[in-house]
Amino acid sequence: MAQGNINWRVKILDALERERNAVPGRAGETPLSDLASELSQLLVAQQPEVVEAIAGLVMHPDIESMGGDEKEYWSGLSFLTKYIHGADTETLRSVFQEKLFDPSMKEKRLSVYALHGFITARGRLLPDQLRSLVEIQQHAPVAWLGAATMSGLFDFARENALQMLKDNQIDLGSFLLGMDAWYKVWDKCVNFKQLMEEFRSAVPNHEGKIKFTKWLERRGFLDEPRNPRAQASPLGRGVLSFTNKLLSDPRCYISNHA
Amino acid sequence: MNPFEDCFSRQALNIKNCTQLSEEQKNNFFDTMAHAANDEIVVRKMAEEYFRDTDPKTKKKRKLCGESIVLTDETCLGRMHKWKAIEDELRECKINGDIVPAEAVLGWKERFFTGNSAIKRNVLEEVLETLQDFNAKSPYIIWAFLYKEIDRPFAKENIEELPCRLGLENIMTNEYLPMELKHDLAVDAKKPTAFDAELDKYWCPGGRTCARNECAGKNGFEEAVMSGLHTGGVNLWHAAKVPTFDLALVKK
Repeated sequence: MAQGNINWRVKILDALERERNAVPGRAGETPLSDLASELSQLLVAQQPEVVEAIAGLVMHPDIESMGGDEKEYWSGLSFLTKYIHGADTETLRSVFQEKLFDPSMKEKRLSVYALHGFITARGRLLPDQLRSLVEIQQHAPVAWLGAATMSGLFDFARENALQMLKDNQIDLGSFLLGMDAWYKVWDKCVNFKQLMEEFRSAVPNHEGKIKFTKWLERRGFLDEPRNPRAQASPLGRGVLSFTNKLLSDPRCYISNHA
Repeated sequence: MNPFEDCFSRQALNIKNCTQLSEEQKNNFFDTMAHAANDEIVVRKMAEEYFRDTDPKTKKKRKLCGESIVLTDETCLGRMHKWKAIEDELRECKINGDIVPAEAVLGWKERFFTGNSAIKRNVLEEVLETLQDFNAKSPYIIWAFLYKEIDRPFAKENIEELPCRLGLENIMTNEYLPMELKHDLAVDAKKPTAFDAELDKYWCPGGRTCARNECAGKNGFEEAVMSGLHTGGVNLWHAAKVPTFDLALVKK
């Protein structure tokens, strides 16, 4: 468990516990964000011990040290999982998956953290598995759509997102943040601007549409520059490259929509 | 030796040297800490609780008790806010408990450091708008450093050196979102005391930032702490803008 003189289990529990009453530091740091910084600077060879510590805390939760605050415990643990880069996260996937389908987690509405931890540890789900997570889909739609996207189920994610937007089931601010994260992993053959416009059309109210328009504008999607290559934002250039790829390689379109 | 001095010798010295704290305040602190077990985790927890508490005798908060700083129209407040702290704040949406991926912050960060001034402004606006909907760690103390060059605040400084000169934990500029806070609202700014600084390693008494060893000898900046501010909501953050030194970032 210990690496050198570091006992990661103790260190993680200490950060989780201190986070609850944290007063952010001079640059807004909190115990968990400090620990996240420390984890992201670890060498790959140092990470297995952190993986082991987190997996141990998932399998054998120590909620008592958190004064019984289960929500903060699971939220913090799944957050930290993101900062393990390069190490084999198989153990984490497996323990989070077990918790994901654990009825007691579902009862306490904690499954969403297990889902987040599982997906962050590079776990992937099938459409039927996602469909079975109805409660998460209803209460944490962005986390659920993120799981679909990260599982490579783009059409599935698109269709469900459209429906959720139409039915006003999703907080738009959170959804747009999700899109910021997903555009890089989204099927490269898809015209992202078109996709976002489709989502915007699905939003039933005017304020919601404005949020989308603002999002698109801020990323240069709605500019129509004379020399697009020279003027597009980095994200805009990404869209141009998608579009160019689409025009130059029709197979891309066929394979995605076949 | 007092367990606090044993575990946090530098911070203990800061408390002893802090002229803004009375001898009684200092003695009370060390007397309380004398009862702690000599274990770093225990001592830290006990000290943090002490700093954040209210003094039972005076009924006053132990924080934000330093000398007042008069902010004028010519004072600019600079701040470097850590991106990882934003990731932590975005952990969960307070509206519905939904979870957004931390990669969204990476997208902002990338746009901020590669975009032009307009894009930087967009990113800052978006960060501040978004944080209002999330579990901001609030209300809490906001730290800022002061400039008195209204014409081109920040422009004369080398942004690459700022984290080091400010004594921040990480010296890489791209770990922070730089911003300038407007103070058109009545803000009660104070010189930080050692109790405000808690267990910060790179802080020293005197009202100026404490440069890290890597940039020793570089002047610090006057620093201030302000209370009652939320990450979102009606406060200083609303008037935050990208400082002039963003031009230096564009050139890179």
